[in-house]
Amino acid sequence: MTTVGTDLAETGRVVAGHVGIPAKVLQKVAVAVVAETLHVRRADVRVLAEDDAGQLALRVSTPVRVPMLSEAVTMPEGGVLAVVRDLQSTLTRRLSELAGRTVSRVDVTVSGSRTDRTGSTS
Amino acid sequence: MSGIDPGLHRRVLRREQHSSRSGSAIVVLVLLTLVVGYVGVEAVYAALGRRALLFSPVDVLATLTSSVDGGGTSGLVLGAGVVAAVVGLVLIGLAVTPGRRGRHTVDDDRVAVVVDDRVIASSLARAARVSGRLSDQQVSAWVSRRRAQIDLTPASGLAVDEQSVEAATRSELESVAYRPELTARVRTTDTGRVGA
Amino acid sequence: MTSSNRFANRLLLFVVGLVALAVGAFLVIVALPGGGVLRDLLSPASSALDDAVAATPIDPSGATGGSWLPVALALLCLLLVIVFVVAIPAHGHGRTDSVVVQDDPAGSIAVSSSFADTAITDALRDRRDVASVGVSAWTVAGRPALKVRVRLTAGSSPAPVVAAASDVARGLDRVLGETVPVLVEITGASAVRKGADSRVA
Repeated sequence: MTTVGTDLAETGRVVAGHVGIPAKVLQKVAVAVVAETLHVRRADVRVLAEDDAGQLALRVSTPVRVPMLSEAVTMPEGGVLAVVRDLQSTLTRRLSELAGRTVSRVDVTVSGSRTDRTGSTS
Repeated sequence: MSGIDPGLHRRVLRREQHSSRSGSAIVVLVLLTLVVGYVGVEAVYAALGRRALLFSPVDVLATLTSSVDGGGTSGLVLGAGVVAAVVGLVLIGLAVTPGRRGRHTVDDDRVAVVVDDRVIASSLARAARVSGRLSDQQVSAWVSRRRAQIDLTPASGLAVDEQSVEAATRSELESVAYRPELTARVRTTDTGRVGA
Repeated sequence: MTSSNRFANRLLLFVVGLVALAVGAFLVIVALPGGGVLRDLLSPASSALDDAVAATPIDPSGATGGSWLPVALALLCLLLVIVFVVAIPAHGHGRTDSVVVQDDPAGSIAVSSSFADTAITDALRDRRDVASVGVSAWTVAGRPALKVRVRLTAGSSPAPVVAAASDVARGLDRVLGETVPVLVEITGASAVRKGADSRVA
């Protein structure tokens, strides 16, 4: 899986001009970030980019990996909600790094679960 | 358990064990719509002063009086009355009886559980078959509200070990906390099957 | 777990039943030879009705010859029909898409019922005593709740499945970070013979 983008700081030189990034590209970038962060397939992730009073609002629909359910299950502290909040901040950060866009909100719908048969999530 | 109101399980389980009567209610509503709709149409006709389709609501009492006095169609009135009364009794019966759905609940701390009686009967029959070394045609299990009846049909000439069947079914029932509580009764039929 | 108003259903059945019974009894008594008392009421009632119709003309000058009593009846019927027609589809609702919802300035989070569905199904499906699993989400008492329908293989005891379902639900609690009420419905493969009782060989 390709990791997304390079750090803008590497180029060093600031060149004048407008960087136009169409919505589709932003969405694709967001999909890649989500898939990479949650270890799910890009095909399962959907992102919609909208304008929110000048800032960028993202609507994400994605599955989340879970261990096989049982009382003895180990899941990061806070469970799925914590994973999603983490994703929200990661997306905000990455979209700023990669595309220079400020994200105002990330609405996430956890559309399904992908069960890890080994019994723990990475 | 935090977050779950204990009354919630009770409510949900109670609903799951009794019929909602939605089916009957919908049938009644549809029929009422047709009947009342028809009466409304007749009323409109009568209001416009036009002739009635079947009979006009304005003339209802007059028609009834004449049919009853005349003696000719009083049989029809009688028949209609009987039908209406019977339907009324059936509906009242549906409204008032609990409509139990043949299920039992199981006590558990975390989840509310409701089990079809067929599943219970099936599990008891299997326990009986295994413990009594019987074929599935020799065991018949039936579960009612408080009783589980297990009937064993022996193979002719081969005695059935009723005691081990009793022990097995009792331990099966004890392994699950059914509510209302079930007691197992095992019975061996008098006549056996020759080739079992 | 549907939102059907059970009390309303039974009330409807009771009231309609009572009315039908009353009307039926009345007709029976009136039609029988011994129904003299009630029958005597018919004639005066009938003429009273005729008088009422005559006394309520639509057109005061008496030209059109109609009465507004039937109009009132028609309006009443229309009103009733509207009530009935609205009541018919009001049954069987209550399903919901989300199991957990949290709103945040950073963005809202909604965990869909499919999440719980696949997580629970994956955990129970591979058991030997389980033939199939189905999970649905409902709104019960204003909150989301799950209904897990488990079909057992023939003859299996419910006890281990109940324990497993309880275990899975507790696992879900930890995964979700919230406790969602769960109803487990245990059914079996339908036997060939159908009957009102639970007779099984």
